[in-house]
Amino acid sequence: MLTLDSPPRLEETLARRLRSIVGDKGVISDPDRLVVYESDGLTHYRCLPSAVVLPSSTEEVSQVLKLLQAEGKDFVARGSGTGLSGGALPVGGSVIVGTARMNQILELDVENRRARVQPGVINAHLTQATLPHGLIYAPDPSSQSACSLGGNIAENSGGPHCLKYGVTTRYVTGLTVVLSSGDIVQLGGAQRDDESPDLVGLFVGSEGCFGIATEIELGLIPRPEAVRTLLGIFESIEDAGRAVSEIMARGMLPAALEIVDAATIRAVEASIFAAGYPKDAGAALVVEFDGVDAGLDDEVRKAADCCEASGAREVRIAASGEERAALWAGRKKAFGAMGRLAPDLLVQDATVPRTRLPEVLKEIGEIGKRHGLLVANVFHAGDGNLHPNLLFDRRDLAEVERVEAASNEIMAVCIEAGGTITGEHGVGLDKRRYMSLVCSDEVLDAMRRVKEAFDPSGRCNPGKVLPDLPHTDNREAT
Amino acid sequence: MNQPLLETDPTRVLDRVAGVIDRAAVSESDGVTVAAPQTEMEVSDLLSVASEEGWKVLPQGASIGPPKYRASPRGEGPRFSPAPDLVISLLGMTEIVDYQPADQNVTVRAGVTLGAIQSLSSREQQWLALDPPGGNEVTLGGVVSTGLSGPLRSQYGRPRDHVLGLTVVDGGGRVLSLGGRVVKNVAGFDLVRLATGSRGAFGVITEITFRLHPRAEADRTFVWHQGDLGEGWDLGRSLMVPRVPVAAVELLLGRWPSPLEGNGARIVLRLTGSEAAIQRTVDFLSEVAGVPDETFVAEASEAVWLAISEGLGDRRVTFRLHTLPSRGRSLAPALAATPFERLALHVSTGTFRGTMADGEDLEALFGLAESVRGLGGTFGMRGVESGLAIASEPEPSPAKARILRQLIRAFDGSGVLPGAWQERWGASVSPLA
Repeated sequence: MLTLDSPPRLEETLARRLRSIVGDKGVISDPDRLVVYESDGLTHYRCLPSAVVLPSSTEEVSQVLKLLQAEGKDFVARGSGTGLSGGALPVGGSVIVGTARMNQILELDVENRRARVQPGVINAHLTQATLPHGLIYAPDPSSQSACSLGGNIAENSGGPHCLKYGVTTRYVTGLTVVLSSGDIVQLGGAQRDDESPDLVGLFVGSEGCFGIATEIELGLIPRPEAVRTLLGIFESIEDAGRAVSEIMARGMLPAALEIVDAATIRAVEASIFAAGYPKDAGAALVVEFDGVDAGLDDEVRKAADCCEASGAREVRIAASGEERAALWAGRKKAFGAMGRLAPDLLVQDATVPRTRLPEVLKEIGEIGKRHGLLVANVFHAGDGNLHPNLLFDRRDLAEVERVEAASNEIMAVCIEAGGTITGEHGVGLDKRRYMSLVCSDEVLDAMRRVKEAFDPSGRCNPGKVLPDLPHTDNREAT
Repeated sequence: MNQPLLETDPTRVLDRVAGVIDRAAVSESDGVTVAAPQTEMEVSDLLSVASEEGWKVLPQGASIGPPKYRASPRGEGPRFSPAPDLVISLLGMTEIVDYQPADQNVTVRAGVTLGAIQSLSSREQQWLALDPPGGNEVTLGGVVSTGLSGPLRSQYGRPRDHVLGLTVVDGGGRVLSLGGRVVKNVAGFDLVRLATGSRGAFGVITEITFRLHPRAEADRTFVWHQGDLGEGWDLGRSLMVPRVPVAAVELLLGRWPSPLEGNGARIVLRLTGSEAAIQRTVDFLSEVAGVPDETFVAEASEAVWLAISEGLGDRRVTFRLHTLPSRGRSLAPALAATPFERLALHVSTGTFRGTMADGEDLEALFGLAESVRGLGGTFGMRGVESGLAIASEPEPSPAKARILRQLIRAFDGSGVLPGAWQERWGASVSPLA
């Protein structure tokens, strides 16, 4: 675990001025309460903010950022804190600007299939609001019942069903953004289809380094009429990977293709989340199709044939909503169940070409063995997005070192296979060190200049994404 | 950047360019030097020289070139638009670098045509699900640079949703390899999105990796003939119900090439998927709209959409407008007053495209532009023969204009690329609004 230096406490004058903008309940500076904000979902890194500010409108965010600029304070935007890259870590005493109070669905425009929301709206709450109108918001990160849409924008989040429907950026049509200067900028908008550069596309996935999105326009899609789900049980994870390649090679486009490996199955089945997967299985593959009801059964049958041709020892097809939920349970509860295996885990997020999955998975297994670590894999197989979970106990410093070494080796294998370092979790603090493995110096320079265009003072989520000097030096460089 | 526009000696441009790339790949058109590099390094060398000399550079695929004039729809123009000193034609870069059917991606040089990729990938029952104006002859570099999409946008998205990676040469000649070959990639800021649709503002696109899609088991197009624009629009919108997952739906007016003969209003709707799903959907649509007047199957269905794409891409006056779909109906009077040759109204997204014959009264378009502006939408137009272009885009706020300027500087410190010297976006000059 990396614990960064504790920051100086916020000066009382500044705290008072922040309260005058957002109200007494909108500023947290009590160290005991700040502990809640010391890490995001990647608990490997921890550090306390100097304060947390919780504005409730675009105007309040603007006033807060103007004040922080005047005081020369760095800041970090934070949604629900479910991120997995240390992206919301308030390094160097940054002030956290939380979006929890900005949780309103501002507009639901059914006719034009769009919604306008504040950034603190929880992902799943949007689809709950649109379902009665036959519409859904497609991106569905595994944390969708807790993660905020603002966080999804920052990370360009994916999810199991992004294989068919695409990731967050495809659905963002417009943004209201507050820059570090406090200026409010409107980017895009459903009314606009102009020829200017795609600043919305650039902002999505910028990990809070460009500014804070305070209003978000999103596209909605029709809810599929029907869904079919099957579960293939395999002797090995390589066989499951081959089934994935076979399904895709036959021209099918499932809504989801998810693999759970043997270690994960055993953890789930030993937990309160037991899903009925065979405990001796080498891997399980969840395949889901959706769309018009007619024809879906044929798709499922073809996918079942692919599984059997790839060595599946059993194929289960859900006959009801309850059975579907049961087939998914082993996948959806996997992270929760891993707590039985070890007190801590480090989840990787590399993406590789789908056809390289079997060999990459084999190498990951060997790396784990070589370092004496348990590695459990749960991942989006259809788009090659791996999530090897390295399980450890943070109190064992030698084991922590082995985790770091294994993590580096896994990343190298994925890059060697033609992949990249992160598919949906973002770079944050955790993967900065790998950026130079996938980006040339020229590209990294270009990224620095792009950040400067939005954030010339370098106070917006400093020390993230770019593999630079400590953030204070980085700021001097700008 | 933003230096005064100095006269450049064309002879010097020609001489210096011929010193960088093979003389046979250098030509002249209307007094402008045209260089057709074969490699990325040649593009890099050309831009390095241009940067030293302060030339205005225009990257070009199979396009019609820059407008000669720009005008305001409020009648304040037209005025001259600066001509480039050097055109970099990507038509010589036609290599298909890598095709991985099993991973459903293809990497091509910028001068490869859309048709070439469709032909290659169809052997593996795959396709690049894009249908921008211009048909199969458009270059993929041009498609990505303009970001233009067609009717398939409603189901498959825009070019930005298909591009996995790009190689771009920036204004200083630096080669930037952006993105990669995997479908999910959030390693750093999304410079692929920034470059896509930016019309060369941030660099010359030399290589692109696209995501391909499997071809569906069945492809059907259905046509319903309608009385007029208003009736057609209403019918099209009535088909936009959640249970109908259409690949594309257009309201067409005017004269279109074969197989879309006739002159009336027509709703043209495309379904792709399994035979069973399409039949079920058609049964439902027939309840809403009646039995289709025409049906096109498989290759004939593809031919319909190719005709629409080609019909909007030929070299006449073309215009494009966009508004919320729910507001599209209110544009019917202004559209009816426009002497269009053909119109394609994208029912699900609110993007309308049209063509006019050159020589028609362009003033008529100003009224349409005003109507679109009144709805909060956007309007653009260009005429090839007249060389006139109109862009009705909102003036960016000072903060947004500052960001655009800084972004252009970040990739083009010498101001040689179109984002710096063309009249766009309020970055180098005020927008025409």
